Amino acid sequence: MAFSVVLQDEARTVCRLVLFREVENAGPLRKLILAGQVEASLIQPQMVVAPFQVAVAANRAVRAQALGKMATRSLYTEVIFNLSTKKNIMNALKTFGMGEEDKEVLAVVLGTEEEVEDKVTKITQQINGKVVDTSELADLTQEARVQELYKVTPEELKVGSLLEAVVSRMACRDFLTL
Amino acid sequence: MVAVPNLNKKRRMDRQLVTQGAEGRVYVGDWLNHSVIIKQRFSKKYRHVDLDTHITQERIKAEARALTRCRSLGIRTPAVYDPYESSEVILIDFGLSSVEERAEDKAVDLYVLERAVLSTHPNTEAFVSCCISAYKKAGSNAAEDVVKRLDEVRTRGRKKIPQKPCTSTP
Repeated sequence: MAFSVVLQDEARTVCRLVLFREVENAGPLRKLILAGQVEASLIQPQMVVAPFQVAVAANRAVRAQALGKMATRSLYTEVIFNLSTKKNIMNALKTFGMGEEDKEVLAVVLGTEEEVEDKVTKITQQINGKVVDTSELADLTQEARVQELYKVTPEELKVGSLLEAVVSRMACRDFLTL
Repeated sequence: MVAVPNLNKKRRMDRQLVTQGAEGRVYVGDWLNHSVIIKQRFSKKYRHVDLDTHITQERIKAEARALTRCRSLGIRTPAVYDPYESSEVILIDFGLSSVEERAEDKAVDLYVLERAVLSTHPNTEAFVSCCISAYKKAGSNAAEDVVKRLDEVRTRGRKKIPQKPCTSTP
């Protein structure tokens, strides 16, 4: 059901993605996030091409945390920030983070295997929606919007996938303007 | 791609050495469940460590930048996944690249290309000459300047070669 990957950090952090549809309480959820009650990154699945894109963002986030070099205040906002190619944090959270009226949410949970199990249980209780297989992400991705947002060129899509284009830009954010 | 000396001593199960050159090593390995190429640059012990780190990091960034820019123009280069650890997809050495727009640099690049083709393939003088003409035709004014500079570049250095005019239209 859920997508799971072990990140490349020393601690071998587990990263799990859970996809929710028919979400009814995005508004209240945002309040919970602001109150620090949510132990997950809540992302707009429309902006995600594939789980790998999120895994790369999460990988970078845990590494920054281990080095004490996060740009944002929490690991969960850091993951969302890493999806962006711009250095403005608020902008990134607004573009990629769950919105007030969203009906679909991709939850990203990080920790040890046990911690992740607990956090998934918790977030599933907090979100008023239906858990679906992460493979349904493919139905939700808005490729045209992603392409526009990441400024992917048509030439580039001839030599590689949209996923590769997106991940390259994410990875090189700090020193590349395209 | 920061040179990580420890890596030499510890045998990692998730990567395998493919080749080694003067500047570093290339591995193939698993990264976030993807198969990737990892390019790791050596640290140069003869440099001061701060300077070495700085130079290496600048080269890594330049390479990643060049590869990604080429990709956006439709040139088939590997996608860069992670330039900060010794885990990323880099296959071509662009470490000495820059994005200056000077005619001099472009002329030198053309010259290097010209000499490379001439030295590796016999009887290609006419071909090279036609390539230059095609370049001039495709690039208009800026290209004219570059080719003019190229003529100057050719007069420099030892081992000059005589120029044959282009006999066919591109």
